Amino acid sequence: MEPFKNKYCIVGVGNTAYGRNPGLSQLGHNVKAIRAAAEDAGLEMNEVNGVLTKAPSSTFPMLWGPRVSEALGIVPKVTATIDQAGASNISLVMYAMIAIELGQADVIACVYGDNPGTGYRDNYKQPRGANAFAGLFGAPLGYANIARRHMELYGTTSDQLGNVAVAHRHHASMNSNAQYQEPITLDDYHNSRWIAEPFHLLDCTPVSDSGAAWIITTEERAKQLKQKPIYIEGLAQGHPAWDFTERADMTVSGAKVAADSVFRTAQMSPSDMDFCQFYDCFTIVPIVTLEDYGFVKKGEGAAFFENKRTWIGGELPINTSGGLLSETGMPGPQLIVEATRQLRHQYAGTERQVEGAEIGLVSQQGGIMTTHGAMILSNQG
Amino acid sequence: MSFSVSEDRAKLLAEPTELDQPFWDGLAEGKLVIQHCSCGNYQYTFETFCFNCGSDDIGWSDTNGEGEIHTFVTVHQRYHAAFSDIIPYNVSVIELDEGPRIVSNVINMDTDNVKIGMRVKVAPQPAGDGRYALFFEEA
Repeated sequence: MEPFKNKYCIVGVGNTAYGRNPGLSQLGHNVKAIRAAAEDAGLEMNEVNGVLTKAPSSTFPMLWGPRVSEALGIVPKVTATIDQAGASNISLVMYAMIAIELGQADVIACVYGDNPGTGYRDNYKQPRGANAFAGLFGAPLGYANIARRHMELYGTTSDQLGNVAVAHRHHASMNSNAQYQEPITLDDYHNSRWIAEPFHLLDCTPVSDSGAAWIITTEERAKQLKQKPIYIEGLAQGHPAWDFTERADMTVSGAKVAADSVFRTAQMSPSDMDFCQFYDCFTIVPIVTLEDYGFVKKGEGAAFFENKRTWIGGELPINTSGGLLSETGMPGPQLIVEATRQLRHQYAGTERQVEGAEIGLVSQQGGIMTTHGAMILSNQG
Repeated sequence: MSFSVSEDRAKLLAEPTELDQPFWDGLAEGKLVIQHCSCGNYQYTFETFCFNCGSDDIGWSDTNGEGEIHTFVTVHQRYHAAFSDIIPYNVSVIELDEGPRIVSNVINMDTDNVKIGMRVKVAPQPAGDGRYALFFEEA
């Protein structure tokens, strides 16, 4: 079965300024990201006939698709908002492909934008139920529990978590749109204050204002547009449990379930990937993701981040724009934007480009490793 | 080391409901009482039905009140004013001998001495108005 091959493409990507952007509303981030993506593709705004949104993390507005569409001055045939937190970003692509396949729309903008950096951010420190009394607030504490368990089971060390932060910051240092561009060392990592042991501040994604959009259409349409089409080769989801404590093994993410579908639909294997853009809300996550996709055996993920193997120019470049840890704390869309630009060779001639990149894997995740999305992209029609 | 629940923190304690009253009554007697279905499933997310078999006929059972530390963190960040005085504090995931995992705190010991695999037992603490809150201590 080759359900996706040569059928659906990303034809435009766009983003707002990452970091702190007090002048732009939540709605503004969505609108400006879509307008930038349409311009990138060479599309007029009214050619976009589907608008798919991941709900802003800081609030959960109802009817968000129509609201964003109205602010774009368009009347779409298809809208939807998908609630899987970060994993939604890839599930929006799945829904876009279904809508195109069923003849409901043919140029679909997917978007996420939010302003928790300078706007409302209480959702980022909310407890759930009885966890308030126990003092379990916010995502960092959940992920720190997972990291501690991974360290206990597999001997993963604090230095190894730090390597992830250092690597992603190294990539952000080449990215003029990254929120944090100053290179860091392992010493800087260890000297950053504790959030919740085993996590230092530099294990954690910042809370940022950001928006990004990516436009999906058919190959036929893509070939008439401005940019080199980037093909969607594989897609998958995996959702292990609502609460991190309820998973049989809390060190295993939805990537374990998604891996089979994403590589099967693409008819590829991990060794075919020229780079990965992994959801890295916390340092432990790309480690676990690398393991669960089968790039390395369970427990060997942390070692893979040593010796610059994941740096651009290394064996398998990971998070080439700095990821959530350093480019922007936006929950995931920046990874789709970056994968697309790498595959277009948009950074050709600079140290940022993964030389000869043809195929890349993007992961997305939501909750406390609650949801997962996987997508393989290529520049080969 | 003696531990007591501050007034501010007690305000975060969930109010008992008709459904989960047996859990709170258990704590007041020094016991951990959770849901238990005839299919064998023990359940700490209290509901009117069993998450395993779907039965509405789910009851309550005493546990042995013991388990082990599955994982834990030591929190330094001030997320809520009610915890300011006890930073850094422990938050642990405790796997009960009956199976369910509970997010709670290990008290009456230095947070640096908490270890994965450590045996713990339930140690309910008074939280005002005659109520008791769930905590654990080394077994």
